[in-house]
Amino acid sequence: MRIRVKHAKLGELVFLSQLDMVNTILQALRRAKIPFALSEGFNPKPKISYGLPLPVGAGSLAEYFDLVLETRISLGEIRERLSKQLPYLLEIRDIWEIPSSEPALQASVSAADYYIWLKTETPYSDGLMEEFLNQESWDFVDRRGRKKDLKELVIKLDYLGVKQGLVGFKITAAAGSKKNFRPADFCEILGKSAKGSIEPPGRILRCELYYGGEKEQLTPFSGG
Amino acid sequence: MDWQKWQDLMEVEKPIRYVGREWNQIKKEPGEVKLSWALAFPDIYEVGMSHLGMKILYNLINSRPGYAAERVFAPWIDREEQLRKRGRLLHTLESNRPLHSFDIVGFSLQFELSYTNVLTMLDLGGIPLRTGERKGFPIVVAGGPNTFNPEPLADFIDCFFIGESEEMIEPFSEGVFKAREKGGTREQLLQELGNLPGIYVPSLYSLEKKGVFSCPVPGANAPEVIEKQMVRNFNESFFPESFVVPYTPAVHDRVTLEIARGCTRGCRFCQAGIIYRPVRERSLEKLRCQGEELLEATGYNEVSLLSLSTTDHSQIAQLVEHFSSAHSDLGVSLSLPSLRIDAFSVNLAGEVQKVKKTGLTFAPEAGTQRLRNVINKGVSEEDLLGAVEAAFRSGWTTIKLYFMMGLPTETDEDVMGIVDLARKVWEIGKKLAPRRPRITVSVATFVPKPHTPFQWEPLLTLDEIERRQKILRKGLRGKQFNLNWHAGESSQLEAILARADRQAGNHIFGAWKRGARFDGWSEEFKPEFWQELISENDWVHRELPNGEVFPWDHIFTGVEKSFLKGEKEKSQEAAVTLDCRRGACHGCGCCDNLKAVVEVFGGNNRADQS
Ligand code: SF4
Ligand code: SF4
Repeated sequence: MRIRVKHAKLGELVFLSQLDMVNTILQALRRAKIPFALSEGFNPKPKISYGLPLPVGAGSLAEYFDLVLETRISLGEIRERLSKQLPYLLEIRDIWEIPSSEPALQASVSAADYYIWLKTETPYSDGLMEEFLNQESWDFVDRRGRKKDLKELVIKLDYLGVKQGLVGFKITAAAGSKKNFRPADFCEILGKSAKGSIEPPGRILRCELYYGGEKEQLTPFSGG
Repeated sequence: MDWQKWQDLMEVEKPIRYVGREWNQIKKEPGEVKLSWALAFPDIYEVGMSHLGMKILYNLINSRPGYAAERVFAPWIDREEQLRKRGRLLHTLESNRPLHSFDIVGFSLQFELSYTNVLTMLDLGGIPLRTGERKGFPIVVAGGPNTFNPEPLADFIDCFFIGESEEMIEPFSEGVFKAREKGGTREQLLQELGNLPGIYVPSLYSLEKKGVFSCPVPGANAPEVIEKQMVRNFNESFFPESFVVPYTPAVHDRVTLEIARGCTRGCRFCQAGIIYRPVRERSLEKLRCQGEELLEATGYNEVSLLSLSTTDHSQIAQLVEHFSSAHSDLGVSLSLPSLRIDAFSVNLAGEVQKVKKTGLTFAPEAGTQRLRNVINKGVSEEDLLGAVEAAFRSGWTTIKLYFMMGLPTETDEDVMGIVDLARKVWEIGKKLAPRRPRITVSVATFVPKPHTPFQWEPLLTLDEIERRQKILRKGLRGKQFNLNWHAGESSQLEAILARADRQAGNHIFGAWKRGARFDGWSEEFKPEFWQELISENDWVHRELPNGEVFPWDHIFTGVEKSFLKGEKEKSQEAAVTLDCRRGACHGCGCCDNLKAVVEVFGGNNRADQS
């Protein structure tokens, strides 16, 4: 039986690395006595795979993993048993059975939704923000030293304004192995263009992952 | 989590160390807590969270209604800088309260080179460093093996727990609680606590120079001797029903079962062998239940059978069989941390690691039979080569060998003996191993420890350490050998702190002021911070006279000093003393003095045979 689970990653647990999170989930599955399948070979490993790794420090309402189970258990029971063994900051939000033919999450992720907040010391001038948002391109140099335009990766951007000393955005952007928008890059570029009045790092909350895109419709993994 | 806390954590390496909120964490409502303990481990989270003693005390204290125990670990260097820069205090993981707001702060002292971290934690916790300056602050206590020479930290620790802390937690907590109800001064309280069994309060003792060391002399109402406390009826004694499960990999992530306490093989350099006497085992039945319960509570997939010498447990074969078969369908594996050197142990290990054969470790400690007899390591070359043969035959390719250098009476011939033995192991591997074998040879410098037959012995000088390391390096060239050792200076510091008197306190403070942190971490250790201490304590390189009075002579392990002397003399004749767990009693004094008995199962009880 193959299942897909959607869960949150909130509060202090945003500091779990991807590996820490996988281990934490596996421990919870063992405590819940949910028999997951192991790979063959010398060093048997559980067949668990995540969608898109989340940077350390970022929260999420939409972490997805796929898992193969040894036996059939009803989804309701899995959810109930696992929930009892999982820290509430990693709360299960949804669970589905998926066919074994379903492509791996990692291969099909195409976009993600992010909330991004940054601290702003001085009252922010709307003019400056408008200028930034209307720039032709957001050029930057990526980690491998290549010149890139971040704006190309943005599908939709809502500026949420300034509240309680924080400036907020909701951004839908390309995600996955081919093209990937890194919220940290966005914060960096914004910080530079705001000339010190906005300070990275930004706090990030991922709220959905999508597949599809380009020609077909962008569809959230949790259904249309 | 507020923005500031998030931002602080974003700036440090591995922020998850400072977050807490783990599965099985115990957090009590402030209203129900009458007495609060902060359990402090002077090393990083990942190290401290692997330590069994911490787990036992944490659950033991929290199992008592009205008591709370919380955890705190040494902040890594980046975190300390941050706390200082922002003017924040070191706090526990459970309630996030600073250390100074607890009733009792208890340090676990496992290793001399963690002493400066104790000062860091006190200072960052908002607690004055010196015991005399703590009016209105928590009682600072320490337990663990290092308290068997408490003097180097006597300026900073109000009370030391001598022996197995489980036994003292209850009377001590009650003492502190009642005193608080009653009112009264801190001095009165310390006076009372200092008269509880096993509790050493250094401020009740003055110092007197005797020979090399300044030794404590009891004041009016202080006990002359502090006798170690130990768990009796170990089989029925407290063991946690759950472990806190760290989010980030600790040094060990597994269910650790303590299958026995104590080891009486009697290696003459070994402090644990003396301070945890006599041997006490847990039964197969008990361990099965504990294992079951803990696997369920933690979700771990590994069980480790812990004791000073795992394969000496009288029911080890049944234990291994049980734990390697009962849960294998769930992918639960078993590990045996300390193997005796013989084919029996190797076969057991083979049972355990049916598929994945990583490295196998043996500790012959010395390279020649003569020297192994001197240190009373009851291992013959035959045993070792037999064990190695069995290991290569059953598929292992990596063998780790642990040795010590600079043991009493060691000559160059003994050092070459290490080389020869490693080469023999390699030759066997070449013939029998399925792949090209790799031999790791770890050579530590022998450090004389208090309460051992070798407590009078010298440490090699740095030049001599280097010269002997060169012999090893020359002898073990070649890719098949992986040779590693400790820096001489770090052994030198460890050796001084292990046997130092109270004067060392000022030097520890000085080194800490100059910036000494995490001295046990080779990349952080800076000998230049310790030059004064090192130059004032050159006795460490001399043999001390038989009549030397030690600063730990008032700390009583139950074992008579005369027995230790006798063992020292036997060592000079390379004469061997056998294990008393099954053989004859050697009259070390422990069982009589402490009214203790050897607790062994499986029909091998010494009493059964006599
Ligand atoms: S076997 Fe020797 S070194 Fe190991 S714990 Fe026992 S006495 Fe100490
Ligand atoms: S008194 Fe005898 S039996 Fe007890 S620990 Fe000492 S030598 Fe062993």
